[in-house]
Amino acid sequence: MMPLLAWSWVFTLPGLLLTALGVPSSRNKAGYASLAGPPLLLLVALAALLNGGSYAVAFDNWLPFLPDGAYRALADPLSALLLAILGFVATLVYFYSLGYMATDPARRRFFVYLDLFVAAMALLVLAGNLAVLLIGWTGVGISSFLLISFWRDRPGTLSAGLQALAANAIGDGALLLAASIVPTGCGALVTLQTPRCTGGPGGAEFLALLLFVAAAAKSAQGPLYFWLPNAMAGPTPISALIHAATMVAAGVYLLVRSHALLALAPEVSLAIAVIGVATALGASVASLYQTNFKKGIAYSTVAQLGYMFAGVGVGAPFAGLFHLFTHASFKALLFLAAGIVIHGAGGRESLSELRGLGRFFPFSRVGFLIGSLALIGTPLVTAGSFSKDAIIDAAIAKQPIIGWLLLAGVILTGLYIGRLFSIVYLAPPVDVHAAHHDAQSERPMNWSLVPLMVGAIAFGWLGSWLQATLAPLLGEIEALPPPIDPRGLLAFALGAVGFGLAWWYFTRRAEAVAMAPGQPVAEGEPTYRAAGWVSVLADAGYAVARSLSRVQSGGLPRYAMGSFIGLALILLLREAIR
Amino acid sequence: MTPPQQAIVVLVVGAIVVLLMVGVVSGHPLRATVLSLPFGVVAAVVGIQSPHPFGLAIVGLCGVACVGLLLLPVLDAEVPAHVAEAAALLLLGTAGAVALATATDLLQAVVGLETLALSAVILVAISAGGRPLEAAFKYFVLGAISLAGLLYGLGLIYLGTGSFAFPSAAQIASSPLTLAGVVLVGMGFAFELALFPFHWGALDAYTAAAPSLAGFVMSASKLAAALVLGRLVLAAGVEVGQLLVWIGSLTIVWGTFGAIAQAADLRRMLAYSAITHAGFIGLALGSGANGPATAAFYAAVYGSMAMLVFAALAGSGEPELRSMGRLRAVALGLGLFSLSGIPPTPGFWAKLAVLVVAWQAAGPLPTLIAVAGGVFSVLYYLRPLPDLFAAVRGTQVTPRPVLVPGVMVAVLAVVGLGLFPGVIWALAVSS
Amino acid sequence: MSSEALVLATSAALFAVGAAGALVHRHPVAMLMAIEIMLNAANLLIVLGARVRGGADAEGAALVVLVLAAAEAVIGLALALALFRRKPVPDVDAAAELRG
Repeated sequence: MMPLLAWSWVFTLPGLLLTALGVPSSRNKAGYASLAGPPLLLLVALAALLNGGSYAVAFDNWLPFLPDGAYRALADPLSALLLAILGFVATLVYFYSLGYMATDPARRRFFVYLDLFVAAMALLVLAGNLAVLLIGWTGVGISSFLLISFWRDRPGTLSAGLQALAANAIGDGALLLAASIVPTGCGALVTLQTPRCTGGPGGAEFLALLLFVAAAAKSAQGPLYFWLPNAMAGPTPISALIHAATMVAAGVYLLVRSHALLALAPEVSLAIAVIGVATALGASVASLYQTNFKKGIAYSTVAQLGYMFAGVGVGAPFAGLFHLFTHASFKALLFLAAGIVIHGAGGRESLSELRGLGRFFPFSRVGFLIGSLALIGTPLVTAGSFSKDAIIDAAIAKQPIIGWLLLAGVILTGLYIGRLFSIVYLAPPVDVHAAHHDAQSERPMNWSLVPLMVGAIAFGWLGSWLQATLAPLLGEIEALPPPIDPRGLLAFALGAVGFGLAWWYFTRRAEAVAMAPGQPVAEGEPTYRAAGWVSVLADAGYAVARSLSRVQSGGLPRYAMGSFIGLALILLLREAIR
Repeated sequence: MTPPQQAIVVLVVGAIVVLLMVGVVSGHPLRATVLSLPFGVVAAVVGIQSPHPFGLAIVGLCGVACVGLLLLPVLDAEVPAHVAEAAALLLLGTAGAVALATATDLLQAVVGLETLALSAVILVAISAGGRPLEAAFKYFVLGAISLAGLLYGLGLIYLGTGSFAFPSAAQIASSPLTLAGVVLVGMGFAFELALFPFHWGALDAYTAAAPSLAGFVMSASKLAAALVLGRLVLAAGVEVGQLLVWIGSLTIVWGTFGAIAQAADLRRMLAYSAITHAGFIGLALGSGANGPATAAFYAAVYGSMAMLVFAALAGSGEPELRSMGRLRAVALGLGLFSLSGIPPTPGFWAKLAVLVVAWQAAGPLPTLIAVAGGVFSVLYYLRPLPDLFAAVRGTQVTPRPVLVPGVMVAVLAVVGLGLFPGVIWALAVSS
Repeated sequence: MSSEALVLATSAALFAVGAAGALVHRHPVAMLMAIEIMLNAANLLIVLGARVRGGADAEGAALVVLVLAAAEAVIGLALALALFRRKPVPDVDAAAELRG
């Protein structure tokens, strides 16, 4: 099964072609041709995961001008796990989208972009060396851009897409540099840590740093977080698939895949852990101030990715990976549940307008509750506790300060998710008639939630089996904590306290939407302007660009003068430098 | 006669034949294509037997010309009443470019350069409207100034070394006249390549020319100039290479910022981006012994991408993104992806090749500049795409079947190069 | 100074005059004339080289340069005429529609 898996990135391409060409041609069935791809991917990945083994594809001399110019793909249990996650969430999102995008005239284009994304993500996961990784890495960035700016008639979507593209570009640059500087023959991901390959300039530390920058850009960590909240400009299904479960997890995957290299660069690993915990705490606080439902959940994604980064950074790659696995289900569940309410409210996303409408959508309410409980780590009944406890345990063992900070942060988690749940699903509704039900489009949406609910509850129990399967790949793995243990209970208690506090506060105060009293309540269309420092940089860049282009003033003698002066300056500078 | 010379002869004969048949061809662009295309193809076939990398140059240049010729039928909107001249100039310009690219001494290079440059100027000038004429005049004047400098340098080199051959490093070191001459000659070739600070005229010319012809002007000049500069650098040694690294890096910075400022004008953005690509070529040229081969590879790949984009834009004065049919929209999208360096398009492989060789030979700062210029290019290349793809489903102009052959050839070239870049690479490396 | 040096100096001076003229003049024909001066300065240098180094290829090159200069002049004048035909004053700064 592994050889088939190694080529599984082509599975959605036939669907892409058929949908793009307009097959099937009726408007109602637009996109049906694409529905076969993700389930096939899921099945093959599951079969491969159960059978085990590994398979490498190598076509040498494909790119003779690179240090490692072969086409390399690697199918092993780690990639099978990621592909299974991708297939699972993608299948559900595809079906969900049939309902969510039922009345959207551009549904065909939507599915084409989705197919492109799934193919690129699969290629990313299956990549065996940096060159092929770059194809998948950039591919998901491009599909993310196209999907974020999908609705061109809404203001700000192109700007949001360009922000994502800019952050992506920084990550791409780091990976490009990494692919260019490795010594000849190196580039295969599994050999990056060998002495020959770390012998290049800067050694293992520099290479690890480059991979860290790339991962941080993709997973919205540290200063590069700014694009993810604004990525909510895209339709909710893709917020679930791309910006919660899969693409943003690619950064974590890259770090897990190259864990052996990170082990050789302790300073970089520490930086990863510190950035992870800082992002986790900062994003948790930021979520409390959001007045937009989806942005509130988006900051939660940033925070949870911070937990994963912290796990990898302290030297527990399996814990980070395990949390990636469980997080995919419950975060997708949260987003898709939110989407049902948003869809029912006619596309409105601000918390003050959605207040209390959640109670009219029972599937959504149950789903969001399960997702919330998983997020705060309810032991036994949800999967989140298994993985989060694993990270916290490993962190406390290896970097105690980081570990206890992560543990304490769970109260913030409870607070922000409790706030969202209370406002939308528990508070008295602002306007009973604002919720519209459309049974036909709601059916696929409601039922796609069910497998995710099962996953959010049950996936945690797969922990030991996963650990056994992946142990050979990840080296020494620390033992998983038992399902009930004191620290886990403490974390859960903190989370429950936060959740309860939010429940109490936000159902009592009818107008309360923001955390602190006196916070302005933003109404109307969501805006996707870039965060402070990013827009300052962007404005500066555009200002420089405009003044530079004004040099081309139109006067011919001036051009000639410019050439002479320019040449003279360059020659003078060269003489001066020499 | 060597194969390059044979190719040149075929192309020149073709140009003369087309000009002689101007009465038959004028007003009937399809006849112009049918008459001139065989000459282009024959020249390519004849020239491919040349030793590498000349073979690559000839095939690349003739390929670019052939796509340009295939696009002639839409020229009646862009180049009223001058279709025969356009076809003849495409062939003649290619002949000049081949002469420049395969020149074994500086005099031959100068003759080829002039043929190419003047053909390009006229191609820009005969495009419809007032702006192309202004652009052509500026391009011409600045080109003439640079030619004068180049010829002066030629004279200095002859005074210093006694021959017109590409001067070696020893000859440069032994006489200041030769050094000054090499700098001036390099300047002249750099103008053709459109490097900073010699890009002003080229910028306007690339913006204002008719799309089908603009692609040819950009691609042919870069490919030919890349090859001849490569030979100059290989002969002249590290010093000249260092200068090119500097100029190349500056050009990348200038072109990237310039393109970012062009949110509203697609043609101007493409022109600034052409400058940026010239910067990459310049950077590659200066990067050690493997540099010139990488530069040739990059220029050949650039030619294919540029032709693809301009084939998609052909037929309309102002690019009407909202009314492109499916084929042109996909072609334009593919071309923009390739220009911005999205894998697995050939543009990405070429950029990566430049980064590798720049890191090894040019040092960290130019490499970082190249990385930044490469990755931030997505901000200006991909900006029109959401609107472009969203409009594909919408109202379409009556499909222009005459466009299809040209566009398809370009698409196939880009896709093929993306999947099998090793083929071009093998041709670029000197045998 | 020796005659070769004198010719070299003359050629350099001519080139400088031509360059200055190209930068200063606003009338298109004046610019073209300045460019012709530069081209001829270069040609003078090549002829000098033929004399100093005694090569037949330089003499041939001088003739080629004459032809190139002639071709340049033709195209330049045609372009200038076509462009400035409709403008009231032939001023290259007035043709500044392409900018930015």
